[in-house]
Amino acid sequence: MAGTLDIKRRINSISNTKKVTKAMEVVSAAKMKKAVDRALSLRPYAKAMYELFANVAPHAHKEHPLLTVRDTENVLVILIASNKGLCGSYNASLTRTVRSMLEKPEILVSLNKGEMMDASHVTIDFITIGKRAAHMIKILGKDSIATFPEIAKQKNSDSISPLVKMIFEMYKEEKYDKVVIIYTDFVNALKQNQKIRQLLPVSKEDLAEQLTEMDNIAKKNNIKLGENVKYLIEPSNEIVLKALIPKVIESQILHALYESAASEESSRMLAMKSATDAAGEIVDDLKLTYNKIRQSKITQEISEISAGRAALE
Amino acid sequence: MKRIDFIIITPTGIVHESKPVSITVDTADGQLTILPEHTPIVVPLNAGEIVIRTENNEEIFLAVYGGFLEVLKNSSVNILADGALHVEEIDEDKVKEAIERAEKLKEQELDKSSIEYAKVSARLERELAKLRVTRKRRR
Repeated sequence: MAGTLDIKRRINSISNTKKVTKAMEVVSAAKMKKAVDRALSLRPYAKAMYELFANVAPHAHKEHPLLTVRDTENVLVILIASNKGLCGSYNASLTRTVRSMLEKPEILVSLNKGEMMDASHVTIDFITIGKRAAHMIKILGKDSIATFPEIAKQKNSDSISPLVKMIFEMYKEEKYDKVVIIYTDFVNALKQNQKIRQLLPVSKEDLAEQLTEMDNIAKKNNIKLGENVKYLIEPSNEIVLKALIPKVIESQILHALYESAASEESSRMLAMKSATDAAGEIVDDLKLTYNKIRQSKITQEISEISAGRAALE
Repeated sequence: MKRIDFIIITPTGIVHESKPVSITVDTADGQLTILPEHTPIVVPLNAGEIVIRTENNEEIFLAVYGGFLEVLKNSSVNILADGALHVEEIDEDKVKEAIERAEKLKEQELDKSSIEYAKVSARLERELAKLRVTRKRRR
């Protein structure tokens, strides 16, 4: 009968797809675990680093270039997305965040300030990490001044040092008055949030917010943190801050990268899981149809035979 | 006897945690030994070794690079570093190979302002620190 061969072929092809998605699900689950581990082991370091900074910064001279707040005219946005696709709504949610940010640049200008400020004059440029991020920016009709697909592959302090150097130089030359980073915060396997954080000028409010989020983790790890400690700072304030600020930025970027990686893999895992489930459902459906057709074919044959016999009698 | 709450934190996690009686570190101005009840202080560290003296007068050696020493009140001490290694974990042959590789690269990268040069120098400094620590312990 006509339909059966077709259906069989479809069952085969969908079963194969199911195998692939299942394999990808398992791989993502393993990668996610690794990424989450890394993100978790960075947290105590990042926390201690922000605390140290929060304690040292008040002693600094106000005119330190990386701490002074300037009127915001040009904003540099670092966008972290994935290198590969097939990760559910991960990149789409980021696109949504970026789009709403572009529609309402006030969000950027007023970041950590409470009151909304006029932002009609603000220009926004992008640095992208991950191929998808570059693509996203192109679709939104913006230019990215630099793109680092290799950082999305290899995440460590060595690989991000060119990025850090670049944003420092541009900030010092006053090409940009504010540097922010957009990434996906990993809450748990089912929940990820898109976040916008300020990198430069280093903002105490933003760090404080991150600290409260991390508080529970530090307690678990039993780290003693100094609250408003009056330090001796050796050899001098400038030297310590000069060494400290890059580390703070670096750990913020690393933190964002690790969180994003964990989010990416977990959304890929979920996407692959639902793809596997959907494939299973389709196969079940097709099998049912196939069996029905086979059944009706047999019934028809039997009735034909018995009709033939009845005619002979 | 008073002891120090001591912890070394790196981006890859907590490397060391103990309650020693003294800690000796390398700073730009020379060696610095921290005893319990030291006044709060922040110092950037050189790539080099940390010597931790325990209650039983044993010495623990670590190689550390790119970090800060932070002394808080009540004898708690944190070291925040890019990386830290126990001396037992250092493979001297591998370190020597790494140093040779880094030195060769450094010769090739003559442009001293380039990012590559900075990277290689940092790596070289870090490997040299490891080597110093292993040598010292052998003696």
